[in-house]
Amino acid sequence: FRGGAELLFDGVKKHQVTLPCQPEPWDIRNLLKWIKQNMLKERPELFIQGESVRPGILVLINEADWELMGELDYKLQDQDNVLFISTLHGG
Amino acid sequence: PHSSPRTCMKCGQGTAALVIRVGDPFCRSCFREYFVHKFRAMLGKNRVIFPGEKVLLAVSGGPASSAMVRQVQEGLSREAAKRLRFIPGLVYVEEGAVRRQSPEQRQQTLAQMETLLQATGFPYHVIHLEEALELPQSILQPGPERASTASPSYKEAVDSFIQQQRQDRDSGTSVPGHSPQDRPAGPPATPCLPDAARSRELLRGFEAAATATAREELLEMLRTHLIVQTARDKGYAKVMTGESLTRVAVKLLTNLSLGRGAFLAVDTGFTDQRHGDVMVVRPMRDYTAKEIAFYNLFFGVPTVTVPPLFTKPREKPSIHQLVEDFLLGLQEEFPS
Repeated sequence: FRGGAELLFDGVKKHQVTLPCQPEPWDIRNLLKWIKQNMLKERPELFIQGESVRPGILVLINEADWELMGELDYKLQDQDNVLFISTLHGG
Repeated sequence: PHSSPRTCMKCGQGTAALVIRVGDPFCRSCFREYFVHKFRAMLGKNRVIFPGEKVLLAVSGGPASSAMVRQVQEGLSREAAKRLRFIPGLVYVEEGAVRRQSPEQRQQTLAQMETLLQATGFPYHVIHLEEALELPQSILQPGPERASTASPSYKEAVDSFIQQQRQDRDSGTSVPGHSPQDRPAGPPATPCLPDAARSRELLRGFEAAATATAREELLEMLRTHLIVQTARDKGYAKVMTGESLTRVAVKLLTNLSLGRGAFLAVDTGFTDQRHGDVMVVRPMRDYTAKEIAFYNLFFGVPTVTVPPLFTKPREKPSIHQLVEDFLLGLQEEFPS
């Protein structure tokens, strides 16, 4: 998490997570739900809006724009790196 | 949402790294070219920065102003094609007193910024927002404009610069830059904060603002005044600030909501001459926040993040925040 987004996660920028096995595929959509339930300490509306991230938050998968990868539908693979960068100015 | 094709649309070869605008995938190197070219084109097309003149870059540690500094660094370097030819200095306004930072946190931010500023090799000035308490009354008036007879046209300025260079080369002198006292002298001294009484006084001023909106406006105004005063004191006639397209758009709508419609042109345009003798230039105003964020990530531009301006409990959001949310939401739903 960067650009200020880390402030929502105890200021910790890098998180190594192991997602539990489940029948539903792990895509970004489900990852976001998981983050909301398990990682967001406060004010989820600053990070998540509806199913997706709040406008102004960029999502990169393995250092590439998620728009190239199918956005919410992208299926996560082992060792994937997901980066959220906030471009918002405070609040 | 569908996947865009994964090959760069510009060179047709590289793997696309990001999408600019709608459906324009760019690879890293084409993106870099695009980014750099935009900066040079902005300065070149507008022709307000004369070769050899001193330009003060206002740096906040944030992504846009940091990207701006990098563009200046690269543009000035010897290898640059059509290299830039002005003399940069940096100014950083430390605002920890109104961003809920403890003295220790402020020191830490200052240390990080000092490292960043020093690494550029340009002379730099660090000032604290508390210094706004000492601004002269004159700051509220535009400074005297240069007499029009003395102010050269762009072409004349370029010609005289080239002539000067030839003379210097012939006589063996180096190009005069900054006066000696501007140069950062050796390792930085431990950054020192203003004394607590002044910080409290500043904070009282901010707490007196009734709304979050008023507070944001106050911060911007004081910061701008400090920067302009620094420019005047140190002999800079030009200031560059890092407002991005997103920021400029927010400013535009916010100002309309605040009844500042008359000032739209100066508040958001490429140049801002309301201060008379000091001109503010906004070379980043054509870059979206997304482009800047990707550029900084891909090319290792250092930034320093600070907490936002303080808010009072249960306070309504400022107009600035509402406008930002609104615009970003629009961008999502109606990408153009």
